[in-house]
Amino acid sequence: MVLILIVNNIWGYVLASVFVLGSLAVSKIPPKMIVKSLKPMVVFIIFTVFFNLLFFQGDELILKLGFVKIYLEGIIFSAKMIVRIILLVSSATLLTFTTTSVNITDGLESLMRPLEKIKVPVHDIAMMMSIALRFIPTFAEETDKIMKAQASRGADFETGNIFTRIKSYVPLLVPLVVGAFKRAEDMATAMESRCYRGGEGRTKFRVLTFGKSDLVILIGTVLFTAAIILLNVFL
Amino acid sequence: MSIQLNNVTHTYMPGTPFEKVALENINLEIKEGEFVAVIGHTGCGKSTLVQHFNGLLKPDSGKGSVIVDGVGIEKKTLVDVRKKVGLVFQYPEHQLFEQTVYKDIAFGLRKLKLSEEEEAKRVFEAADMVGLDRNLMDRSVYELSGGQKRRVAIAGVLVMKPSYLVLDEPAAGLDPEGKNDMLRFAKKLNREHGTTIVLISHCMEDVADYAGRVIVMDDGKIILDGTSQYVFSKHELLKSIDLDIPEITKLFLELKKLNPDVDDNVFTVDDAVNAIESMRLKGVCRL
Ligand SMILES: Nc1ncnc2c1ncn2[C@@H]1O[C@H](COP(=O)(O)OP(=O)(O)OP(=O)(O)O)[C@@H](O)[C@H]1O
Ligand SMILES: [Mg+2]
Repeated sequence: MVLILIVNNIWGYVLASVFVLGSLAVSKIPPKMIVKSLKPMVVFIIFTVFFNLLFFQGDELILKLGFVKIYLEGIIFSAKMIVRIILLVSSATLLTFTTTSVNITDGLESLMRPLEKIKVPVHDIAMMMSIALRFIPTFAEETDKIMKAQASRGADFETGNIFTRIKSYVPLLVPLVVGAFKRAEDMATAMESRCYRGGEGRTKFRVLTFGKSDLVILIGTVLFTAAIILLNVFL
Repeated sequence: MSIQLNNVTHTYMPGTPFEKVALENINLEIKEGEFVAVIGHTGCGKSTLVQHFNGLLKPDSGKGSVIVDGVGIEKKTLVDVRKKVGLVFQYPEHQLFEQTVYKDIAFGLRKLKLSEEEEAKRVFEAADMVGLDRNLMDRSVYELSGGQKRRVAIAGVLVMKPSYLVLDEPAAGLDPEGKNDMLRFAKKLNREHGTTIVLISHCMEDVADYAGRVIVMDDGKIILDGTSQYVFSKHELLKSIDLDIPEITKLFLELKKLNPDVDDNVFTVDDAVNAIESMRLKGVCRL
């Protein structure tokens, strides 16, 4: 994913697209879901394109309307941005749809293991991450519920100017934050009563194993990385 | 005057792999002044159903409509509908947020721009109704016990003087005393103010004791709708969808096995007293 950010020429884009599309095809994620995950990005894309078109300075003038000057380079750059954003988002979707959050954090924990030598609390970071990830849906559910509850006793989240609207979120935010603190406290108590003492000497219930498919993907990724770098350097 | 649901279908997360049809073709009318109980096992769609009553959820597009007192629920009418239909959620104490109990109860009134006396009058009325001690009014909502918080939350809905009050498991997690208080206040509201009550409950004894009409749901559909006597007499059907019947009814069914003359139309303790009395007169049993 990070690689997509360093791509800087046309062949790089083609290669990255092929790689991402190929992975998507292999993953069997319904295309509908991918399109859906791209939807919220549409506004962002339009915004980016708009500003790039307006303010990109180049040599080849295409259109001139008063002080608005659109250059060919601006168009190309915008097109690149669009491809880049779509690739980024769909590869992020690929990750979250194929890998459970537990696996992601477990993976990160073992990748960061060497950092333990320089006293980075790797286990704690991973634990915090997995707890945070675990509670996102709960939090969303809670938000929905409290919003509905306040709406049914006369709260209004939709009308009014910006200030009244911000104020109208107080009845939502206060119970939400209080609930989050309470949950954190309960969680800590529950963990302690099951004798959680941090990562020291803790064994895993589900041990990640390095299988054949992981090897294939690792090789694939290495090749892909190498290809992108080579293309960047030589073209 | 009634809440009418015509052909209401509701699907959660349509178009995703998590799609779930929670309500299917519901037709229902709840008339003013009724005390209706909605029963059904976990996840059958009770909460989804009642959220349609005040427009928190909308029927799937093109499928069905909800009409409250002759007015269809739309964006324009939403505010009025929410004033008419008060909805108390499961565990409503999670929604409290103000610094004091008084302010929290008065929250819904702020939009109405009432005079200070009028506001105070309504707040205290609502607090009395749910049996909330007046000297708690200036306390922080976070210093109350669970049962007290629940009362504050319900009072916060009652101040709006809804003509329909929907209670989603108001007694969950309360002690027997608190639970009876909740139901008694609902009954009182129904009797004295003519407020229509819709009660979601998992406790069959309460349903038999308090509700005039019982709606039984299973898997997004209404499968029984009638008086509590009618509904609880269908114990075979209820059993097939994992629903219980009142303990006292079970007892009388067992008795009937011993003596076929026993009357098994017994759903409340009062019914039982009457049944025993009439059986004694008929000489079915000696006491
Ligand atoms: N926000 C939501 N998103 C997706 N599915 C939902 C949502 N809310 C409820 N459901 C699903 O819809 C169905 C009906 O849920 P509902 O909350 O109406 O059940 P209920 O009868 O109130 O259950 P309970 O007695 O446990 O409160 C359930 O299968 C549930 O999983
Ligand atoms: Mg429910």
